[in-house]
Amino acid sequence: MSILAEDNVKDINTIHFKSANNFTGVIRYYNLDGSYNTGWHYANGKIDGTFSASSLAKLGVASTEGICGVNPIYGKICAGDEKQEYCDTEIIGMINVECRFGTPDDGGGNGGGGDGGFSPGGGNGSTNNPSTNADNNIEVKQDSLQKHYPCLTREVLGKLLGNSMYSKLLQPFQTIQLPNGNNFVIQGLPNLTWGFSEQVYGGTSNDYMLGNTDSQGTSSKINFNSLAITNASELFLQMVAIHEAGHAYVNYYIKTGSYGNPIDTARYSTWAMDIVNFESVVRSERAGGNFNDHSLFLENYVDNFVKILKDVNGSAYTDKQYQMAAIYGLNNAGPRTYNPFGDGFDLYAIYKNKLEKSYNNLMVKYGIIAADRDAFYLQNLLNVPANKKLPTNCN
Amino acid sequence: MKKLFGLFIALLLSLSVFSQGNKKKIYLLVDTLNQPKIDKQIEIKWTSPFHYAFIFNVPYKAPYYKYVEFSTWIDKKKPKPQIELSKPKYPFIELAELLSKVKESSLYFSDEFDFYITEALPKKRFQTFKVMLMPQQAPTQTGASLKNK
Repeated sequence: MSILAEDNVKDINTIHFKSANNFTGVIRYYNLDGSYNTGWHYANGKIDGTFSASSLAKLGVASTEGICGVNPIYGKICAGDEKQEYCDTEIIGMINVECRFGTPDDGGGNGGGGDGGFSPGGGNGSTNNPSTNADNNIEVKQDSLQKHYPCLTREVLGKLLGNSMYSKLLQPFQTIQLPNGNNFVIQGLPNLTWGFSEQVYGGTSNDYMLGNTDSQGTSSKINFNSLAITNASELFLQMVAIHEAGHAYVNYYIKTGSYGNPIDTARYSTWAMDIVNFESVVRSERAGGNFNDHSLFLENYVDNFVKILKDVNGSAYTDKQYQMAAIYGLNNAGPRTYNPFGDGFDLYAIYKNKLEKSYNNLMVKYGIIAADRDAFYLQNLLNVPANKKLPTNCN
Repeated sequence: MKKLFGLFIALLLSLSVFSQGNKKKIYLLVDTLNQPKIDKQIEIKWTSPFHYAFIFNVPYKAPYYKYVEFSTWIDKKKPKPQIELSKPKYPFIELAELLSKVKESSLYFSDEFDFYITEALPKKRFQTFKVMLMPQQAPTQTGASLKNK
């Protein structure tokens, strides 16, 4: 089900096709495979028209899922058929979507990452006007990333936005614009913010960190390593943007689930949903972090990493180079997590072992030799030709 | 054999009932109406379209971030509880005591306690929610070690 309002929707939970109150706009229903079924136009709560796909097209409203144009937003809402009403998690909005890759006005660059200090502030739990609700930052801001690294914003994030598979990962975090120009707001919509911090990058260390993701609630903040921004290749900066967006996406769907009610991946079966197809994570903080996210990526996701990179860069690299880029860091289980024991088992050790096996299997599948991989990584991290790095002037 | 199996099931069921009934109920009164606007210790907000959350900022990592979050699921089937016009007479505990219990056994907090938060609303109204301790996801990072620089 999707709702296309022609005025501001005050309370989405009051709308369903049997009782639309004073709603004015279009309510459409979709089949489980995403195809359009039927829909009605309401004027002040009363049906005054039925819509087919062609009539929607005349209104300028797409009836299929688009990319950074028309996209669904998932939520809990009551709907029903002619015989029975039911409440469930559904697509609750599907209107013009402006992808945002803004970052918070927090200044960025404030150190190591992963600390996760909580920043007070935000909404009060009501459905607010977006301009007054700090939790629903829905405008692209002239933020710290844009200010300090405009080439990263333009050349990396901007180019990726044109890719449909990558855009799937951003879908939960997109803004929805109503036909009247206002933004569609429900309390608790998640934010994805992009920033930067200085992290380990070679030098006396053998480690090359490219970015990290911290999540609070359904929202996430991604920090690029500022040393990587200036030293790594564009290809690897693209790769880290995809990778971190994947972490944010996983966190969103885990947190959107309720206890004991994991995401119904059979029903919401986009490729990206497959990465959250496991129940245990919904309940367990033992299973957070690199060691389980990367395991999921390796099993369900890497081929899509490769496709995105290839789609964006074309023939600039070979298939094997895209594959080597896509698996970067996926064998990194991260630090041992807090209390990783469950039912007498060391879950961290189990997942770490699984991660290494999955990684090695992919190396075999792609025919990647470790020495070639490491040489390629150095070409993209340390000895990067100027034409492979970000341009320096994008203002 | 059948009798033995039946006895076993009955024992399991009774243990289950016993463990559910054995949870201790604890209550906390949260009044954010008069707290300073900056440097808030407590925040009440929606962390997803369905999670109504009470977030307590703490000076330590719990275990990954410096806050403790409790939330309740709100939707049309499970709407917010009724507003009360007077302060309910629950045996409220202090916030420090609550945080101490969380620190002691965050993984098993929800198994040990049924926890209720009474939110003070404007005009001396109150609303009591049964909440769950929200687990924190460990931060993630992208990086690799290169041995042959």
